[in-house]
Order: sequence, then structure tokens, then C-alpha cells
Amino acid sequence: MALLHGFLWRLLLVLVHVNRALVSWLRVRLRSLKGRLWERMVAFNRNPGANANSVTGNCALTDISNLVVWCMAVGISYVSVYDNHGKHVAAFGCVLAHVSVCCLQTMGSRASSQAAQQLCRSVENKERSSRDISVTMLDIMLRERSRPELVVKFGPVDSTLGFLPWHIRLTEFISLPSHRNVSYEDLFGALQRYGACQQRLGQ
Amino acid sequence: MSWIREGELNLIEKISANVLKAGPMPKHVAFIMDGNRRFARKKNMGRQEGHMQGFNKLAETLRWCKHLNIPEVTVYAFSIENFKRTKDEVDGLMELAKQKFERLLEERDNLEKHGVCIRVLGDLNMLPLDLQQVIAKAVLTTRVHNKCFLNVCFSYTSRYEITNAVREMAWGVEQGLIKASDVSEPLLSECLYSNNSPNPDLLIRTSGEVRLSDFLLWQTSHSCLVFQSVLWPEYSFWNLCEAILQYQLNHKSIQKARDLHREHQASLQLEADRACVAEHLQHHGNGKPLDAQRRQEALLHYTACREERVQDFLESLKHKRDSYFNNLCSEAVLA
Repeated sequence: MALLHGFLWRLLLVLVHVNRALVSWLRVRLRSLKGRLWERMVAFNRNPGANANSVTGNCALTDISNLVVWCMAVGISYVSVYDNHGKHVAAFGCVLAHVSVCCLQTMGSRASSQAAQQLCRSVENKERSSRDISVTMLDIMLRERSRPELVVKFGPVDSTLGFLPWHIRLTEFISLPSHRNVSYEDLFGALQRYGACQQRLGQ
Repeated sequence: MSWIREGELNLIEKISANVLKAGPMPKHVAFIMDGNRRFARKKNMGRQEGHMQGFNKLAETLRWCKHLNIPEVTVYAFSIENFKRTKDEVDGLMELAKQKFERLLEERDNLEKHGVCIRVLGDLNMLPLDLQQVIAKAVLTTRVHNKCFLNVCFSYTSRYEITNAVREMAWGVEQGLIKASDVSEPLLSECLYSNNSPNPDLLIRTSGEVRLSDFLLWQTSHSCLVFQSVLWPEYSFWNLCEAILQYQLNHKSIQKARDLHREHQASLQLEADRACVAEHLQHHGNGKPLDAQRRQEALLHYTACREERVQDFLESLKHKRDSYFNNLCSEAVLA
């Protein structure tokens, strides 16, 4: 019985991968195709990937450059690029006029623990008490990077992979399958979906 | 309505569960149960009824998780941000919570039979005292159960949780239990409200919203995130299977990323220990540089001392938290 279930599970995965390949192929050829069947197929293929543009896997610098320029064109003034491996994005340090591009190689929970250590040192030096430590205080310390409102995630992994935990509490996540040969329409589509999000902020 | 639903899966559900269980299964699933109010509007019922339906769906989901051998579930029941809602709605939710936790205490035999351990995570001192007391009783009553675990995030946000963890570490420094140089990512994780649980493998948010809303931001950094458009009170067994399938498709990549992150943290810790040893030798040494073997011995000794310090600090922290619940319970008895 276990063998049968194992076989059926593998069959299920094969069907999912076939579905994904089919959707990828059709997405390119039939961009304007609408309809419920299409929506269902695409919904199942949502993969993670901000204005943080979060890249997992091999990175094509041209694609990222295009994304940054398009962001500039629509008025987005702060773009972060994150790659959990760190090696690919290292080559991409540049600051463009009017656009601040921040390359985050290992920016994850480390920023928070460094801020924590700083606060604990000031307590050790009797400069403050533990009771003084508040959410506002940590927020100010970690604000050197502004909070991303949108993460556009590229790649097949449905996870933030350690991207700025403190900063992403209200960030909307929109996934695109890949940054490779990404088009302006793809980015614009993501921005339109972001525009439709309604935040209630707990209310 | 009860927290524990009895009942087997039907035949098709059973077969599907068995097929899924042939692959890697999440050990800990977190839910953002969103959509109760939109469901209420859709069905022309009051908000309070929507929240009741939401609770019923939680009980049903726990039953499915039990059949899928998922031993730990964390749910986002009430955010600190939700205090901004109207007084009527907040009072209604507090009253609902009080009823549900009181109901939980009535079912303690059933909870013992199923081995369910209930934990409540959050800044509980923001809640009305009578609710805090009922929560404390529920937590203490089920504390020794260990077959499955339900973590209810109530009066919770991730930033408050992280800030509390930093405050506790600062308290540890104040008490002389640890040094500021002992502060690290892993130590911060050990000071969170969720320190008794492994990080969630899978986070599911319903109702179509695609954000985390200050829920388990630290703990889900390497979790599989699944956003589903169904409203929470309409959540079905098949929605859960779909989410688990997504988890299985991502399993290998996320595991690799987790391992990479763990290795990186270990090397950061080693680097930090080395720096501390070097500083210590500079201040307390006799000026002569030590050979490699002595340096290695000093490093091992420092690491062992640090780990012992940290263990003692975490014991004190656990004792502090247990006292909070014990005091609430004894206050309730005296009242």
C-alpha cells in the first residue's frame, strides 16, 4: 500500500510540473488569454520572488538593470535587490541619480541581532535600563533601510529566504516566475496587482 | 462548539492524505486565519457570527492536521493592531476568546486523551485580567501534554515579540547572567515567545491578501509561504492539501537555503568567539603571543563558558515566564 501511495505521489508531482511547463509555454504565446481555467492554472503556479526584487538562483545582471530602470520610470525611488546566496548580487553595486539601489547580500535577521547587541551593550555600560527598550526604539535603529512596500519575487522558491524580517511586516508579496527576460509588461502587471491591494492595518 | 472534533476522513480524503504523506510533510504549520468579516458580509450575518464560524473552522482544521500527522499548528487569532477596531468588536472578540478558553478547560479530559498542549503567545498583559487568568489556567492545565501542540497568537505582533526578546536579553545582561557579546541571532530566537517550538515549515494565509501582517516574521524567514484566496470560514480539506503540495514542491530548495543559513550562523558565532578570546588575551595576557594550540584551547574554553552562561540565562527566563502564569492562576483562585 505504501508503494502505491509513493507511486501516486510521484505521479502527482509529475502532473504539477507538466501543468507548470504548459502554463509557462502558454503564458508567452497567449498573453491575452483570460477565462477561469487559465486563472486556475496560473494561480497554482504562483512562485515567490520586493520592490525589493528578490532573486533566487542564477542572476542575469541585464534583467535586474532593466527592472531598476523601469522602476525609475514609474517613479519608484528606492529599489533593493536581494539574493540569499550573496555571490551574484555582489557585482551589482551602483547608485543611479534619483534612484538608490541597495544590494543586500546578507541583509536578513543579522541587522536585528546587531541592533539588539548594540542595545545590550548600552545596558551593560549602564547607559540605559532594559525597561527602556521599546518597539519604537528598535524601529528607529533599523530604519536606515526603509520599509519595502512591495516585494516582487522571482524564482521557483515560495519563501522570503531571510529577507529583512523586521521590515516586511506590511509588505505585499507578488511573484513572477523568473527574472530571465522579464518584460516591462510583467513588472507593470505586478505593480497593478499591488495597486489593488487594500491594507486595513488591523482595523 | 468544541475545540476537538472527532471523526475520520472520508474515503477520498483518506486516500489523498495517504498519497500526500508519501512525500515530505510539514511538522509545523502556521495559519493567518483571514476573512471572517468578509465571509460574514457575504452571508449577510453579523461580524460576531463570522468570527464564530472562523473558530469552528479552526477546530475542523486541527482535526485535518491530526489525520495528516502534522503535530504542531500556530494560529494568528488576535493582533495588537486589532485593538484599533471599534470597542464593540474588540469587546466581542475578548468575550468570544474567554468563552472558548473556558470551554477548553471543560474539555480537559479530552485534551489529555489526545495529548494536546495549548500555548498562548503574545503580550498578554494587554488583555483584560479575567481573560489572562483563564488563558493561564488553560496553558498550565495542558502544559505536560506532548502529542500535539496548538500555539494561539493572541495580543501578538512579531515586532512586539522581537522587542520583548531583546528586552529579555538586556535583562539578562543587567542581572549579570550573560554578556552583551553573547547576543546573537540564535539567542534572540531562544528568547521569543515561540522558543518551545521549531520554526514553521509552512505558513498559510487565507482570503487573498499577500502580506505577513506582523506575524512570525522572524520564525518564517525560511518557511514555505502559501497565499490562498479562499476566505477562512470556507477553508476546505482540499485547500489544505493544495498548500501542503506547494510545501512539498519547495521542500528541497528551502531545506538547502536553511542549511546554508545555519552554516553561516555557525561561522558568525565562531568568528565572534574568536574575537572575544583575542580581546580577552590582549587585556589579560602577558604580552607574549600564544601558540596555535593554546589559542585553540582558549577558544574551546571560552565557547564552553559562553554556552553554560546562555543555558543558565534561558533557565532563568523560563522560570520568569512560568511564574507569570502561576501567579495569574493563584490570583484567580484567591479571587
